[in-house]
Amino acid sequence: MFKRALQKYAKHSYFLAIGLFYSQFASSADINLVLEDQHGQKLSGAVVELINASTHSASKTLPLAVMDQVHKQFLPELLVVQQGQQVNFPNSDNIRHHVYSFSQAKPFQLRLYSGQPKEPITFDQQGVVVLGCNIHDSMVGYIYVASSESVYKSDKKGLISLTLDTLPTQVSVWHPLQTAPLENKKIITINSQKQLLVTVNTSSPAPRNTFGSKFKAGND
Amino acid sequence: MTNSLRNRITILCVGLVLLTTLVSLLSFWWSTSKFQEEKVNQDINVAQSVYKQYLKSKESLLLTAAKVLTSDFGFKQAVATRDAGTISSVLFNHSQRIDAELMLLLDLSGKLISANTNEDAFADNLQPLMQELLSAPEESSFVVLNNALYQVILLPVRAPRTVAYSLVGFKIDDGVANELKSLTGMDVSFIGSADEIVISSLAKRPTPFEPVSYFNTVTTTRFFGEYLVYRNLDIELASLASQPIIILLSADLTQSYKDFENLLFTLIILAILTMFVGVITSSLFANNLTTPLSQLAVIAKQFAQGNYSFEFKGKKQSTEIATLVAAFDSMGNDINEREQQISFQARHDSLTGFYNRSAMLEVLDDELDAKAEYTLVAIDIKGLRHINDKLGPRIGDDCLKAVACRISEFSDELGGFHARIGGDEFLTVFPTGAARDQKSGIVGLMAQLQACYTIQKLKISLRFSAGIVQYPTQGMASDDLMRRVLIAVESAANNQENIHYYKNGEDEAHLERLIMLDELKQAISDDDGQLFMTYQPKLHMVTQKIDKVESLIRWQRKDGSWVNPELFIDLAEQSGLIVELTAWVVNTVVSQVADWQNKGINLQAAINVSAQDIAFPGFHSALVRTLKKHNVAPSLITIELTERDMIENEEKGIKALQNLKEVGVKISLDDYGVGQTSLGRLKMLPIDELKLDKCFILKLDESQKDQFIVQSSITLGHQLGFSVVAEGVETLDSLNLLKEMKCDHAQGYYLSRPLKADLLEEWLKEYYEKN
Repeated sequence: MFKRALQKYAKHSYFLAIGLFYSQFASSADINLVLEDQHGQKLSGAVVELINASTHSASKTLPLAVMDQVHKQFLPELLVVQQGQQVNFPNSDNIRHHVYSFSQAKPFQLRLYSGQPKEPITFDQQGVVVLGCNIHDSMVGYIYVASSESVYKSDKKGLISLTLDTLPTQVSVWHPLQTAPLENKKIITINSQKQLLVTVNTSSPAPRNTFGSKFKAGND
Repeated sequence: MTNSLRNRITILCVGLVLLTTLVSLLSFWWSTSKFQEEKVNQDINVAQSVYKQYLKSKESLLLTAAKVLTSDFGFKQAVATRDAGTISSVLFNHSQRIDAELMLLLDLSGKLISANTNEDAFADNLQPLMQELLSAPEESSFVVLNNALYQVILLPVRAPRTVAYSLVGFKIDDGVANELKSLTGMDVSFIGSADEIVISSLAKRPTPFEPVSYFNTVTTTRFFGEYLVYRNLDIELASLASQPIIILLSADLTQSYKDFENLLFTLIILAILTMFVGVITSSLFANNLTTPLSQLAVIAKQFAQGNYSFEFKGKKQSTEIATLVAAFDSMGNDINEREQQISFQARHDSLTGFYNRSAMLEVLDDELDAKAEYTLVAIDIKGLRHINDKLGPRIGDDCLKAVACRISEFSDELGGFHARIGGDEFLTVFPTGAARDQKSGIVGLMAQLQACYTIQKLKISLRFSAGIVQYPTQGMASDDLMRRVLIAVESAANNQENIHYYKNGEDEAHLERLIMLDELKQAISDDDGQLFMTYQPKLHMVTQKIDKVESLIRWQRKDGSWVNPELFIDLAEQSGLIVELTAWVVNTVVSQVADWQNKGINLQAAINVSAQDIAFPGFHSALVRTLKKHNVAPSLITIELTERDMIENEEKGIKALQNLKEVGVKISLDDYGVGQTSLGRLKMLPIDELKLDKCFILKLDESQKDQFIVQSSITLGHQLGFSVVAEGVETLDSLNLLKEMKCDHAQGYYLSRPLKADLLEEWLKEYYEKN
C-alpha cells in the first residue's frame, strides 16, 4: 500500500534522511528509514522506491489518481503514482488553470479549463513530472511516477517503515527540493540495519514571484 | 588745500563709496563663489540622482523585459525542450522586441545555452558571473562581456521550476553617455579599468584618453589664473568584484567661471561708475557747502575792516547756511550799531550828549575855519561839589544837564558847538561875528546861565566862571586853544572873577608855573639846599630877650634866581604839593630847634601852615613823630595859621587845632586884623597868640588910627588870654609905642630881617653883646 500522507513542506530546507532497520528475521526485515536534511530537520514528502522490485502485474488495474487544484495550489503538492496510472486534474477553484508539464516523463498541457478536464492523463513513464500553471506562476506540483508498487513517502516525522524480504536491497531516494537535479534519484543500499538515517541536501525553493516590478515593497 | 573742508568731504565720500564698494565686492565675491560652489555641488547632486534614476529606469525596463521574456510560455517551452534552434531564434526575437543588445540563456550550472548574437564570442562557462549576479537577484549590474559594457540582469526561467537563467543586458556605449550628458548637463564616463573599457560623452578626446586623470587635471586659463575645468564625482556602479565599473560625472565649470567673471566685471564697472558719481556729487556737495563758507569768510574780513554791508551771492542755500548768512547779516548790523554807539560814547559825554574833551580837540581841528573868527568860552560851574554833597549827585547831574541845555541853546543858535571838558566844565565855541551881531555876547550867555534853575521842584541858583579865548588870534591849534581857555577859566575861578579874557602870555606864565612846580617838587625830594629856612627873631618886650623866631621858607633856584615865597607857596597849595612842602619845613625847623637846644640857645620857632596842611589827616601824627624824633618839646613849636585859612572849613579846622593843642604845640593866628574873623569867632578859636598884621605896624609911629587899632587889639587879645605879636616893626618909635601898649613880642626889620640859622646865631651874639 502507498503511504500517501500529504505533508506540507516547511519553508526552509530539509535533508532527506532514511533510517534503515534490520529485520530480526532472515527472510523479512522491518526497517525504519529516517530522512533528514543537511540541517538535521526531518524531511517529509521524501519518496523512497525499492529498486528491482517486482513490477506490478499488468492485469492489476490501477486506481485513478487525483491532482486537485485548490486555492491556486496543487493538492496534493506531491502525488506518487505508478507507471501507467491515470491522474485526473480537477479544478476546484472558480478560476481557470492552464496545467502544463515540460518534464520528459510526461510533457502535456491542459489548456485553460475549469472543472473536470475531458479525460485523465496516463503517466506511462516512470520519472518525475513537475507541474506548473501557465497563468499562476506560484503553482508548482510534483507527480512522482514510480516503476513499482514499492514506493513510500516519508511522514511528517520524516519516517518511512519498510518491510524488506531480501537484504541487502537498493532503494532510490528523491525529494522535490533536493539540490541535485530533479530527475536524479539517490541510490542507497540497505543492509541489515534496523534503522537507517538518510540525509538529503535540499534547498529552499526560490520565491515564486509573479510578474511584477521588483520595486514593489514585497513579492507575491 | 589738502586740509580744506571740500577735500575732506570729497575724501570722506569717496572713501565711503570705496569702502562700500570694496565690502560689497568682497561679499559678492564670497557669496558668488559660494553660490557657484553650491550650484556646482547641487548640479552634481542633481546629476547624480538623474543618472541613478536613468540607470534605475533602464534597470526597471531591463527587468520588465527580462521578466516578460522569461515568463513567456513559448520561451519556457522552448527552453524546457532544449530546442537549440528555437531558443536562439526566441532570444533574437525577444532582444529585438525589447531592444536589448544582449540576451543569453544559461543553464543552471552557468553554461551558455544560447545567445542572441554569435555564441562563439562568449566564454562557455559563465558560472562565476552567474553566481555573482545571483547574489543580488533582480538587480542590474554592469559587466563587461565581449569587450563591451552592458547593464545586465539575470533572471531564472521557470517551468515552473528554474530550468535555466536568462541574462538580458543593454549595451552601454557613447550614445548612452551622451544621453546621460544631455540629461545631467555633465560629461559622463563609464570606466572599467580592469578591461580598459572607456565610454564617455566627451566628444573631443585626447589620445590616450584616461578619463579620470583627464577630467581631474585639465585646466583652463581664466582672468584670475588657471582653473580646473571639471568638478568630478566618481561612483562605483553595481558590478562584478573583479571588474569594477566606475561612473565619472564631470561638471564643466567653464560656463560658471564665465558667469562669475562677467558678474564680477559688471560689478567692478558699476563700482567705478559709483565712485565716479560719488566723486562728482561729493565735490558738488562740498562746493555747495564751501562756496558760501568762503564767501562768509570774505564777509567776515570785510567786517574786520569795518564794512558791514554785504551782498550774499548764491541761489538756493541750505537752511543752516541761510541761517548763518542771516546771523552774519544781523551780526554786521549789530556790530555796526554798537560800533556807532561806542564811537559816539567815546566821543560824547554820556550825561549831556556833548562832545568829550578828546573829541572836542578833534572837532576843533576839523571844524574851525582859519579864515573865520571864533570865540571859545570855557564855563565852570562854581560849587557844584557842594550841590552834589548836599542835594545828592542826582540833582548835581540834573544841574549839569540843565546847564548843558542852556549852553547848547545858546551855541546852536549861533552855529557853534560845545563840549563837556571836565566834571563841571563846559566849552562852547561859536563864530565871534555871530555872537556880536545877534546876542549880547558873553555877558548875555552868562546872564542866561545864571538865571535860576528849577530842578526837581528845587530852585537852584548857580554861579559860573568863564574863560574866553579868541580864535585865531590867541591860538590856532586845538590843544593850545583848549589849554588857554582852561587857564582862562581857572584864572577866573581863582581870581573870583565871572569872566576872564585870556591875555597873551598867560599860557606861558602858566607853563612857567608848571615848570616851577616841577622844580619845587624836585627841590623838596632832593633837599639839596635850594630850599632853606630863614628865621626872623621875635623880641620879648618885657625881658628884651629874643626868645622866639618865625621860620620862613626861601627858595633859590639852581640858576641862582630867587622865587617869591608867596608865589611858590601859592603854587604848592594849588597843586597839593603844600603837604610835602610843609612836612619838609616841619622837619627842618624842628631839627633846627633841637640843634639850638643842644647849643644852649632857647628859641621857640613858629611854622606857617596852610588850611590844607591842617586838613591833611597825616599832619598831626607827622608833627608828633618829628618832635619825638628830634626830642623837641612841643611847646617850642608854634603853628601859625592865617585868619583866612582858619575860617575855611571851620569846624574841622578847629577840631584839628584842638588836637594839636593837646599835643602841647602853640597856635598862633597870623595876619590878624585884615581877614574876616569876627570877634565872636575869635573867642572860639583854640589859639595862644594873636599876630597883628604888619599893615597896622609898618607906619604905627605915623598913624594915630593904627595906634588905636593896635592898642585895642592888644588889649582885646590880652583880655581873651592870648599873647600878642606885632610884626613889621621897622622903627624904634614903633617899637617903643608897642612897648607902651604892652605888646608881648615884636618882630620886624628894625630888629632883623629873616636870617639863616648860622647868621641868626651870630646876630644873637651881637645883639646880646650890644644890650
